[in-house]
Amino acid sequence: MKIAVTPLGVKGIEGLSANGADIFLIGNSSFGNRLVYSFSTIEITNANNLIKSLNKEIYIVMNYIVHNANIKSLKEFLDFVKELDVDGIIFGDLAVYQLAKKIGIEDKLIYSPETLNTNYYDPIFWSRQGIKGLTISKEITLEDIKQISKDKVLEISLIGHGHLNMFHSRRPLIENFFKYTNQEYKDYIENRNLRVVEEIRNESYPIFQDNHGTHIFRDKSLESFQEVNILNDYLDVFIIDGIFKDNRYLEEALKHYKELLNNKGDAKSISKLYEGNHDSGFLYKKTVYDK
Amino acid sequence: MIKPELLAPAGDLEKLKIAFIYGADAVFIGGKKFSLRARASNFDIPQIKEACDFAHNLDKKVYVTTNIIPHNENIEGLVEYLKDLEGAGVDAIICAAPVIIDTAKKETDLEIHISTQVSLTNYESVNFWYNQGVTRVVLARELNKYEIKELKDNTEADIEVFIHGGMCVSYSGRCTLSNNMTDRDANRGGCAHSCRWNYDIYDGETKLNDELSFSMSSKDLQTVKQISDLIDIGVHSLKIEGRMKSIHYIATVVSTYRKLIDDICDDYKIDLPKYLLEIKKAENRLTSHGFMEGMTTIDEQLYNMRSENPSQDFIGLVVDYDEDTFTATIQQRNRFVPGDYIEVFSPNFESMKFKVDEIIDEEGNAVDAARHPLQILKVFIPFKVSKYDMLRKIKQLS
Repeated sequence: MKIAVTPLGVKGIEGLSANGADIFLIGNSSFGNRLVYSFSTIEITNANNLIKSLNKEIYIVMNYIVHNANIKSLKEFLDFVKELDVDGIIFGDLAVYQLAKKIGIEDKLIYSPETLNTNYYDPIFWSRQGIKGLTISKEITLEDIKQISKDKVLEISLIGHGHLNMFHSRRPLIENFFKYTNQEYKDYIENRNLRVVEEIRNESYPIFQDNHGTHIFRDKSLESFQEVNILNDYLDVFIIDGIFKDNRYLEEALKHYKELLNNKGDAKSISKLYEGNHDSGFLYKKTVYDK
Repeated sequence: MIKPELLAPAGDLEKLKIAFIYGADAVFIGGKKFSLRARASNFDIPQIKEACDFAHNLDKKVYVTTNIIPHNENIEGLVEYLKDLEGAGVDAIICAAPVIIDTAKKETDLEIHISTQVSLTNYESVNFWYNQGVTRVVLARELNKYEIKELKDNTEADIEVFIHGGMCVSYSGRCTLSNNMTDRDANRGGCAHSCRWNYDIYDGETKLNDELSFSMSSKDLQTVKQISDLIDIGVHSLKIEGRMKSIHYIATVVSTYRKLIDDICDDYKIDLPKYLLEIKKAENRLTSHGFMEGMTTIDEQLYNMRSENPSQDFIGLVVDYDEDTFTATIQQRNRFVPGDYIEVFSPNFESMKFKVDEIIDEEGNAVDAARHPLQILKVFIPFKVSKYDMLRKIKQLS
């Protein structure tokens, strides 16, 4: 199982590489959602060169929802990505698949539509479309993750650590609320320090608005220290997403996972270090739907 | 100009019949399995067959939603269920998951429509599904009419567009607020509508709202003013949301759009205020045009209005009418008393009014008020009414 990380700029890459990262997830905010850092095309080129010189892999994150008006720029960006000869392209909208196929790079694609890859048939369907892999949805239990991954018909990835999102609206919800209450709103766009608290729940959900709309995240970050060795038997790629965190946090988490994968360190005591603002997400939590 | 299909929701057989009688060309219903809206009173297979028979006799159609995003545990029984739907005579299924789409293709000849749950927002993604053998797609509710036109101009797929009803605040299917906050899976029919709850918003530790809660809640969609454009674009099906809504809601909304679509296609003069006034009678939440005219503004959001106000104006459904005695038999739906002013509302979009005189119960006794839901009562109505006409309480006769 390879470990993928989200570096905070080109500068973060070498440190993460030294700590054992195998894959770097790099995106530009015009084409990617909820990125830890938006790389310009020059930075993407530089990152690509650096990552290759380190003998590591680069995946381009293009997980935005595509509207007709985006199709022209999407074509251009895919041409650029094709030239870079990257190792993978993470997408969430089928327009990316359609256009990538036209230029013959669908075999680089990894389908990550947030909520739609939920059962064992999804890898079968997507392998028939000739893509490289898929990312399992975030609300799936450990038992289901095992079943979805076991046939290995394509590369299976999972966000195993990080602050997961749970809502994406096209609406500018923050801007509209501040306009309604006659408050200046511009300071609150792209502001990642905002959070909402529901009136009867003692939980705090990060929220921000960007060009793609409004995003809301879980109250706690996910950690899988006690599960990483089980996941190692099933997954091809384990993603550590560093949104809302700094490079140091990312390196630390990466180091802990690598230790555990090398059978060093104690998972329970590492988990304990993250207690309070981390939890196990849906790994052991089944959702209900029929009452 | 092609006249689009008017597609209505139906939570049970009565609602389905009302939807057809009031002018729907097709209805969509949920079965007992694989359907979102788990709490709607969904149809079992014999009821689906009855629904299809009723529809087909009228030369109309029934679509069944199989639009959950299934987990492993949900897949068992899928083949048998899809074959049962085909056997019942269903005209199409509405799907979101590859496992359901492929199984339907392999095991049945069911027509497949792609659900709005996968949020199709551009013509390339629509064409992906068209190339997979899907005949129709339901577009994301996040599109404006110009985007819909561009999309329609670049695909061979039939396009279905939501024109009325509740809206997800998120891109449909891209939300797990409910899963995270209540353990209820939004994409398997358990949505708790957490996007409509009240929140406080903070920048770090500084609270940014005062007494007014931060709200994301959306007004319901209402597109009376955009129907003409959607017909010009060539949208194949115009869809009303709301399988959990009442018969009064369905009748009012369906008949208004029915009349509007017919008038536009027959080139009659369109009196928009008349349609707007009529559709407002079914309103239990404020409405707006959603994304139809462009990005949503504060006018498309609901602030400081958490509660819904179900209409109390609907007081009864006509079951029978005796022309010799001018006596209507009605089934009570909300309280009314002698002296109340009533509007009779019928599928032909015309309404007539009268004042309630005596109210007689089934034993022949005069009662001082119609109190009991579904009670059968007799009322004098001085003009002919028909079965399935509806009675609304109004303030005055003129």
